[in-house]
Amino acid sequence: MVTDNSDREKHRSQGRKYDFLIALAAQPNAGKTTLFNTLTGKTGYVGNWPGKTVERMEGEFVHHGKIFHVIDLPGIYSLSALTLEEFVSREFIVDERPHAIVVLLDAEALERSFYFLLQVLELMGKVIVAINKYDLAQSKGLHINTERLENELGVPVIAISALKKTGLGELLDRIVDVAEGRLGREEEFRIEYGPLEHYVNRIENILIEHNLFEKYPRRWVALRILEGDLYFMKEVEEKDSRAAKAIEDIIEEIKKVYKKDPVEIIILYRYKFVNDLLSRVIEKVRVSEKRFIEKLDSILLNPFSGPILSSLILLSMMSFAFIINTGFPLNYAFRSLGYEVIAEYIEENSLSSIISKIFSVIAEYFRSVAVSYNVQDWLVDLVVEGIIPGVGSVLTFLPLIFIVNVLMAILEDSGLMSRIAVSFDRLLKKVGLTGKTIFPLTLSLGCNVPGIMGTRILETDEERLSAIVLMPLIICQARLFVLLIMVSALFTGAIMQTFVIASIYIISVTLFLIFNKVITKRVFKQKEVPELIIELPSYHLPSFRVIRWISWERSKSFIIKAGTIIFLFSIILWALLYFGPSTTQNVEESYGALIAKTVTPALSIIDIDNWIIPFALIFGWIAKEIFITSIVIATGKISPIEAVASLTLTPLQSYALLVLVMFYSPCLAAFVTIFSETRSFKLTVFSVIVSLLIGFTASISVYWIGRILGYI
Amino acid sequence: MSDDVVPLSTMPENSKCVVEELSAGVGLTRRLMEMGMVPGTEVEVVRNNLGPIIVRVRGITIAIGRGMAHHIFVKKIE
Repeated sequence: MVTDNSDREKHRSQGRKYDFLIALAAQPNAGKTTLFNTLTGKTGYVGNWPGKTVERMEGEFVHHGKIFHVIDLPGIYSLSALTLEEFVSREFIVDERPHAIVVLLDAEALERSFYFLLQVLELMGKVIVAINKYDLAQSKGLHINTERLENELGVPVIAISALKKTGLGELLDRIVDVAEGRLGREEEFRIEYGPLEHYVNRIENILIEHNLFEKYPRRWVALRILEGDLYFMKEVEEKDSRAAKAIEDIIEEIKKVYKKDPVEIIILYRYKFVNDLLSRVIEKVRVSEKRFIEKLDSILLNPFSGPILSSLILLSMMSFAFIINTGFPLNYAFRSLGYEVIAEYIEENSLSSIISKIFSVIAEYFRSVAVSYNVQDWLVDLVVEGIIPGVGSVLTFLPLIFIVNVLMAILEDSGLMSRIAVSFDRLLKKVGLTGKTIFPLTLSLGCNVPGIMGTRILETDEERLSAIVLMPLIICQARLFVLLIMVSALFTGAIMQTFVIASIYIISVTLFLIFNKVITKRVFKQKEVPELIIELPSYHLPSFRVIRWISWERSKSFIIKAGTIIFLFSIILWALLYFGPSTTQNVEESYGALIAKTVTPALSIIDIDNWIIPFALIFGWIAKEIFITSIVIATGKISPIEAVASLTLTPLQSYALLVLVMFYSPCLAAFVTIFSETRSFKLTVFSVIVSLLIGFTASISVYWIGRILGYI
Repeated sequence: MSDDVVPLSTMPENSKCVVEELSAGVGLTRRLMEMGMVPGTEVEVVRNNLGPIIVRVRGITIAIGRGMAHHIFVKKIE
């Protein structure tokens, strides 16, 4: 199972040549992203594993004139195929046979780290062990005899600090040594499993006899099967039912003799091995005192103060992101206090306003240049009203997504994230979700797109898919913008306006929670409420170098993916508005307007017969803020508030329409993201249908309940 | 099971116990064992109020959903 190291031919990855392929593996919270970033610097980029929704980081470094291509495996607790991340990781090791694997250990969680290391060593011997955060552990009185450890394991061991960049030179040297075959193990590492050995050998022999799993170390597969690995067992059943039967008999025999599941015995033996090993290589341990920051736990993990403080943290983070992006709610606060000048200053200097200003300047400049060169009218219109706003709408997404990515990375890196998940667990459990769902939910308040992507942290499929399908019910910032304009135009009085805004958010969260309970149970057939199991890592000061890098890379990969589609659709929208059956260039006679007019009767149920509203609803699907833009275009007014006010709706109609606009469908970007995350067209359409049904039902109910109660 | 074996969820805060048996679903049980909560391991209950239980096992802190904690059986140690 050893790759040929004399192979000097250059390998390829996406057209790039490299000398050695290196994998980076670690458990969560070990500091792997920091090490990856330190090693690869600016060459690192974030993508996806082919055909999977698992994030994949790749990069390169050069050492002693050799190019090393680094693949960062996802942070996983083990190499069993319980999660997609684990499956992806082990298949990579087996299929791609990297020249070396760097296993990063967390010096602050040594036992768990070693457990993981052993699993990698059992699969492949070409390993370099890097013990991260060794300086922190040392300050707590821990000393590891790395030389002895090297002898026991047969692979190089280096103490490093990825953050402080210590020990890295030696790490690089050892990577070269292992990749070129001077160091490291030729064979996989072998742990004795006591009474199970005899059974392991029997299964191994069955596999060899039936020529199963030739690309894997057979002993490793035998152990995996004993550990209840469904993936391998299914393979055996499909390929050879006699072999499957023989293996099942062996497992039954173990269960009968030892009154235990073999997985329990295996994990027990592996941990026993770890304990013995550590007792030989750790030279002194002095119990350290709790750091002051750990006292934060008594507030954050308290069942009463925890949810309050957690809400405050998330709320202030989101307000911060909102204020930078649009000025809301700071502008409202200043305006209500009478400081109109400050409110305007905040609005004008918000990122979205600056970006839209830049784009209107570019558009005007292009128009003036084009006119002087006698460019045809339709072409100028296509660029000025189709392409430039299209690119603009993609780019206005970027700052918010970047800021939200930064804030989330800080939460994750500091150790706060898992504490917040714990404090929301009690509430979210009631609707079939675990506390971790609070993160995608919070992200969605900014934009549904990162929210939908953020569901990756959820453990079970039912939980994740249900959250994805219903995520569009959460009011994002684009809809907040629509909400604010409609409320200013259609309702009077500060109290009434505040009431309407608050009620929409309450309806949004309520709908999400109720329908989650229904959908997890009825659609995804969730048998039992998922249980939270999450590690609470010790608090850390986040590394801003790493956070800046990862947030930027994640934002970039979003813009490339979603941007192209949003861009395409904005050109289609422009064409629908520009062209029509008649030659007169009147919006009311464009194809877009004609389509809207055919669906207008559907809105008669809330007594609306103005074609502009379905017109705006149809185009608002591309991006929710286009709802307002469309009304502006169709009414011919200049100010958005005037345009909406000119629709002459009753207060009850206004409210019903508002409910409809807020919930009727995920926008195009969310739609695309739902598809790319679920890889299921069925689920994506299901999400749209659910939103449409919820939106219309809620709107109609509000209207008719209001009518019955005597409102107009 | 003898009398002093109780569900983890019933253990008072700041008490210590030894894992006897995990009997939740296969996936969750395995996850916990892989994080070091194998039978025979000493566990310190850090927090046990409403919501998830917080324990310290092998030098790391883990939050475990309450429903799951009902299915983890432990033996008290004085």
